[in-house]
Amino acid sequence: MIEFLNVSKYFGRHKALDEVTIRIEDGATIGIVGPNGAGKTTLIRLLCGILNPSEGQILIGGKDLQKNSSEIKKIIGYLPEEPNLYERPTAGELLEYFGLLYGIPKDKINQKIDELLDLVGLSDRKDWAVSSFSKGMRQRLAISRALIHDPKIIVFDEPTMGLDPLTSKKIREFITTLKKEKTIILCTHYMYEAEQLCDKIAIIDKGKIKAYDTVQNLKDAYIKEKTFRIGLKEMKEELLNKISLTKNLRIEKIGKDYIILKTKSYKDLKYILEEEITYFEDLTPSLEEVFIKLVGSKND
Amino acid sequence: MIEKMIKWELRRLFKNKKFKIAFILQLLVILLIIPLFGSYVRALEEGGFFNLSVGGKGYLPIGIYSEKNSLTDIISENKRIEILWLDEKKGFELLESGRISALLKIERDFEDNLRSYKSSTVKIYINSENPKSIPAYSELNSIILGFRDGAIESRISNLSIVKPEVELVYGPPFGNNEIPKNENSQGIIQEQIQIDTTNILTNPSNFEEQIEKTRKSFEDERGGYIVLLVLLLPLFLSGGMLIDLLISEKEKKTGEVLLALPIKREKIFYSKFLSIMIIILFQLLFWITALYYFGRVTNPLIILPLTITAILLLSITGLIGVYSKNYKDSALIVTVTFIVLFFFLFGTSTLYLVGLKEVAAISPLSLVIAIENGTYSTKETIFSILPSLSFSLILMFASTALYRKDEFYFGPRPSITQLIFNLAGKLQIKSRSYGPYFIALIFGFIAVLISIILEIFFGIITIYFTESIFVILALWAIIEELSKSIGIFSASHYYKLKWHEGLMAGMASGLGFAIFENIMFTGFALNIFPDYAVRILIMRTFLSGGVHIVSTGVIGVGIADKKYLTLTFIIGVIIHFGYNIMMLQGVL
Repeated sequence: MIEFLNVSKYFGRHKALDEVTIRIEDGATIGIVGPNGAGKTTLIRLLCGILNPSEGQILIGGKDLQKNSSEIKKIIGYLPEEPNLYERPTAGELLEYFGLLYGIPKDKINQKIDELLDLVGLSDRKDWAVSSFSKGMRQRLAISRALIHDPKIIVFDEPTMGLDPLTSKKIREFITTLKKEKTIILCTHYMYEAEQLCDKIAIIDKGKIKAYDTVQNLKDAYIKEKTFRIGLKEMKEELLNKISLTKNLRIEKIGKDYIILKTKSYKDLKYILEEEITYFEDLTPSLEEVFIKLVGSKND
Repeated sequence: MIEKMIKWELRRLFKNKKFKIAFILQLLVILLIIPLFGSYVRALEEGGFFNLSVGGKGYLPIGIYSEKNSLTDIISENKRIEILWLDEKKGFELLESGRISALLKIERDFEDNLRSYKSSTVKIYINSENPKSIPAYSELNSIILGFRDGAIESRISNLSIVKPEVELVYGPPFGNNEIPKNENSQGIIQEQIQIDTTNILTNPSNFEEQIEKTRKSFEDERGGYIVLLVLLLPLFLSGGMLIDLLISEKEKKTGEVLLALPIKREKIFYSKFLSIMIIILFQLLFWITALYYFGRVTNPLIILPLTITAILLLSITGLIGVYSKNYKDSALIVTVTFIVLFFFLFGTSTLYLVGLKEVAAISPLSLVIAIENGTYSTKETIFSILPSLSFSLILMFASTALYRKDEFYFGPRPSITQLIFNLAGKLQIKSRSYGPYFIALIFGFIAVLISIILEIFFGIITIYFTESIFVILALWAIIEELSKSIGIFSASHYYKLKWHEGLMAGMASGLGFAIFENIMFTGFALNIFPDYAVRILIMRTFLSGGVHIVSTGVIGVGIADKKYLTLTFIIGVIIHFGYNIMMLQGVL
């Protein structure tokens, strides 16, 4: 369990994080989303022990991170926003260095490097200098560096930022494979990425956690009505009358062979779905709408 | 863990093209500098080095009425002087017409008298209407007495020769050749220099042998001096490399990942520091072995003071690397620091060569010369090493303390004033009755160290431009009062002081300064004049202690009540300066 207890962080007079309290269960994948300068990176740097809290306490597995920094950092893998790699060494040398610093025995390190490079698709580039790598390759190498010591907690800061769609997709797939065994903290600007990968989302703005819950619960909490388009084989008058009489169900539009409905609960749709329907489309706003609703107006 | 990081840093450095180029350039520069530096030392030996006035060979034609002797030999080596051998009558004619700048009359038995430790008179005649007469007199006077030329002085002193008496005859008219001494009539100035006849060695049995011995001794000092410069270069280059290692982690953001590693932050700093230290040691070993092989170094033990110098340099550059945000930020600080440091190291070793060994001993580089000359002692070794080593340790402590702070990596970087106030904040105690005074007292101790550094630096610069001891004493009074004021400002940052509290805080700062300064003075006295140490302690406790308390107390009033700040500061400095003058004049 990762616990932030009333954690604040000042940079000079600026309060980057304001009394944040958050609990992350073991094995969960958590998304941290928020506008630029909201405090996302500060939060994850604090979690990785890169920054020290000005106030409050961070507990990991019940232990104070500041007091047990060296011990706890061994179970955390960190992928910064930019790969931040040394240019001159080869990929193999770089991973070996970090592996040794994380305490991996020398006789096991080569095997580990090969496994990881294979996993991120860079096995043929082991002896290439990092300076010759493309942006996507650097990001994948940085991921393997974050995983070299087989950490229990992995922190990704904008892992797909600035990458082409194909590489981004590969990285998301890779994160999905890690989900089974690790606790993952994912800091991202992309709502669909957070929605797709994360069990829970923390929305952060101006250093404060505005919301922290599952995607569904966030939607339920912040989007009062759900919107659906339902294609019907036959537009029955009787059905339309029944809908208009149902308390929480509202017809937004009636098309030639479809209707758009607004409702607070899926349950209300039960009898409609018993009809002969040709298609069903959820038009309910995404997490992005929740995000905009929570932080958008103030940041406009 | 740290050894893995050192290995990594070394590997990174040796793969770095910048480092390789700098290393090759350094080799070339060192090879070039040896002959260049030989010329510098020769200039020092010939006496023209400290006179930066214009003029090449023949600029100052002087007439000599004498037979050739060892003194005329030395004069003839001077680059600016051209000698005309004249009889007395012709000499006065030419001096009056301005064809020669000065006429030198050397006693007939000059050399014999010197060999038998008798005083010997040399007269310098100058023409008041000839503007070149003054520099000519200055050159000749400096050569003859050896006051302004350590090289020649060392040559004469080591020959156990009494210093010649110089008589300056200032004219025209020059009608009567034998001008009586002590005449104060217009147009004649007589200058008598007292002869120091103490500690004269026994008459050397073989004069020529003695000359050769002296020449060899000077050659040895020259050798030691060349070694200094040759070995300083890799040290300065390595200082720059440490800054590069520290700042590149910030600029390229690779340091962020290092901070996430399960290692203490200070170990990251030490790994970089030690990697560079290893490179320096390797280079020193290489150069010392090479110079030893070619006979330019006589004692490989010089590696000890050079290593201490390297630690000093790295601790300073390390602090700059930690404090600077980026390369641009560090460039100016590094340039200024390197100039100051070079000035200190080079200046002190020059002072050592010209004979001010007691002052120069504070620099480890003076110990290099002493080791080379075989004149070092355990006391001198400790005295040369301890200040630099202690200062380096303080700086390293400061560097690691700053390196642990997030602000020095992620910003915003605190200003030096903020850092001072932060330090004061750590000394803050709950009781307002004691809090400000405790801060001021502790900062009083620190002010001694700040003052020493600033006083040495500005003292050397001031000596270079003006030899006035009054200017230096005034400057030192200002430096010490400013240093002591830091404590009062820090106390007033945390406690709003009323005028009488400012007075008390100032007195506390003065007291702290006086205590630490007196401990240091007593330590020096125990070393140099052990019989007087207790007397010095008692005298300083009552005199300088009182002055520091009063002068800084006055300034404290101004710091508490800002409208009187300038006035009280001036008064405080005047009190301090007055005391310095009275000490100098022997009034107290």
